[in-house]
Amino acid sequence: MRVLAIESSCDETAVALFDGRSGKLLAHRVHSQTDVHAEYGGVVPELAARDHMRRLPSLTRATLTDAGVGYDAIDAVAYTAGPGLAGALMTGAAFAKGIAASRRVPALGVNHLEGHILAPLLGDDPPAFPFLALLVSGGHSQLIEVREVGDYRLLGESIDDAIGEAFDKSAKLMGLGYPGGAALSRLAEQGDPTAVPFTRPMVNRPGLDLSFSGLKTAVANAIAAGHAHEDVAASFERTVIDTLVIKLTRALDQTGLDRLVVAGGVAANRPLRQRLVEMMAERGGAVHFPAIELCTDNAAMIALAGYRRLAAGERDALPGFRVRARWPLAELELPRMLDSAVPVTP
Amino acid sequence: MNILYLDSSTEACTAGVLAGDRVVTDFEIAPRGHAEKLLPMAEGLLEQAQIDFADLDLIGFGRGPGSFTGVRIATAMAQGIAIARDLPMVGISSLACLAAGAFRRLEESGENTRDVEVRVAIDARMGEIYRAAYRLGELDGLITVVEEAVTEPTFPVAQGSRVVACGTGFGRYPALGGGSEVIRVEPEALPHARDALALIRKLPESERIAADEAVPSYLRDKVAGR
Repeated sequence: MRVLAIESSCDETAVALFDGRSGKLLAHRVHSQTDVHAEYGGVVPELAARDHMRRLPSLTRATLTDAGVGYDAIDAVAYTAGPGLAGALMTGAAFAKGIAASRRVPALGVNHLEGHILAPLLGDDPPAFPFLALLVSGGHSQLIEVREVGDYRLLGESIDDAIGEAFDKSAKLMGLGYPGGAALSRLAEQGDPTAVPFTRPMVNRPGLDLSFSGLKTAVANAIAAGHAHEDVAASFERTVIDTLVIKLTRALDQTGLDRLVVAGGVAANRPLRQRLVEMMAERGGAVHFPAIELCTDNAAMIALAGYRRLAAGERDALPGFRVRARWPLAELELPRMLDSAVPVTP
Repeated sequence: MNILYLDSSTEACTAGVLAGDRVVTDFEIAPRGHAEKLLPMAEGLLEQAQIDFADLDLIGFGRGPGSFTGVRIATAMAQGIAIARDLPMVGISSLACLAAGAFRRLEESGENTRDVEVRVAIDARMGEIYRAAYRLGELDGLITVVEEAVTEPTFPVAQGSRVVACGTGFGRYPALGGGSEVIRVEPEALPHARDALALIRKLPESERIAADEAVPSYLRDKVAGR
């Protein structure tokens, strides 16, 4: 079963083609809209939707050309149905449904967060179920117990800013532009991570929730107090990582899990990767990351998540489509076969 | 020639199929249900016309102006069908489609259409309208006399002795449809696929575009503050 996937939940337009039988990603392309939104200092939803529409046809054509196949090779279409920006989601969903309907193949709306946490399954070292997932991006910071595909329990999440958001906002305070999270991390390499004694948020409270808006304020104060930007950046990054290590240790102890999956844009952060590798080695467990290029939003992960459900016989319940700006992972269910659907051989 | 037309640019969800000489259309007022209704509507019409997506030669789409999200639903769905079936596309203005409907209704009621100007206004919110005006030319083609624009609710002086005022803009701003030259006001008129298909049949092949070029005419482009 070859699945074409379309992702358009925020400011990346992405298309992928995945072959379920071989488990191989045949091709995937991502177009980032960063330039469209940079001058506004954040993602403008209407501009995002407009740009998705401009990019989708050529990006899809290029992806199929990369894979060396035509539309007749597509057995099913998966698309991101949420969570995300409603207008942006609608554009990709309508486009995907048009392809699926006209080729008479099944379609399925996929949860973007499920895509992220299953992304490491596309790698050479896929994790076995169950595992603990840390989802860290510009929009989400969650700790999730993953029993199997479709069985998710939210253990904790940020009560305010997402981690990626805290990186980007702190970067903005340092004049690193938008989105500046990655630039902040590069600047941090030159700084002293012990120079500014930031408080690690929420670590003295029980539970697994996170909070980063206070840290962002502390960054503003540290800059105002005259600390060198590279020292503030290094201290900020160290504080975030320390906090995550404390919460992850707690979550692993609580659940008894010994496998950790880290996904989302912030999973590309090298110091974070290194610390989590060390942490899991000390615990005698293992940590799995997606390939760097599959940490940020992409359609490969949507293709994989879609495939796992489509192959089980799951289909869109509606002939039309619905998108959900909010769609918590915990609401997902195991892949289910519609009464009318005929299972497709993988 | 087999054509599928999709339009969800306004409160109406409308689709039509031209299969040879046969035209089948559907129309439903569903302000928030476009995403759920448009595709099943199109599939139903193809079935009624006894053709499949594979038999199509051209995809038409309502390119707006109108609801941004609505315009995108029809356009993106049409793009998806077009690329997957390697078909050309043609975009139809919601304002021109409304005007074609107004001229059709005039003819159906036995009125002379020759010196009539059809003014079209769609409520654009924020105190503005999407407007345009048309006359009928040779072979019943539309001639634009006021170009599409998003403006304050006003119209330039009419170029015909008789005016038909068509579209929700005249419902929102009733005074806009006043004046001695106005012979008919249609404040509840919405675009219908039958009028769009009639317009498409008159368009030259040079109007056809690739899916990559199929962009809506939003008219309102100031959508973000800096």
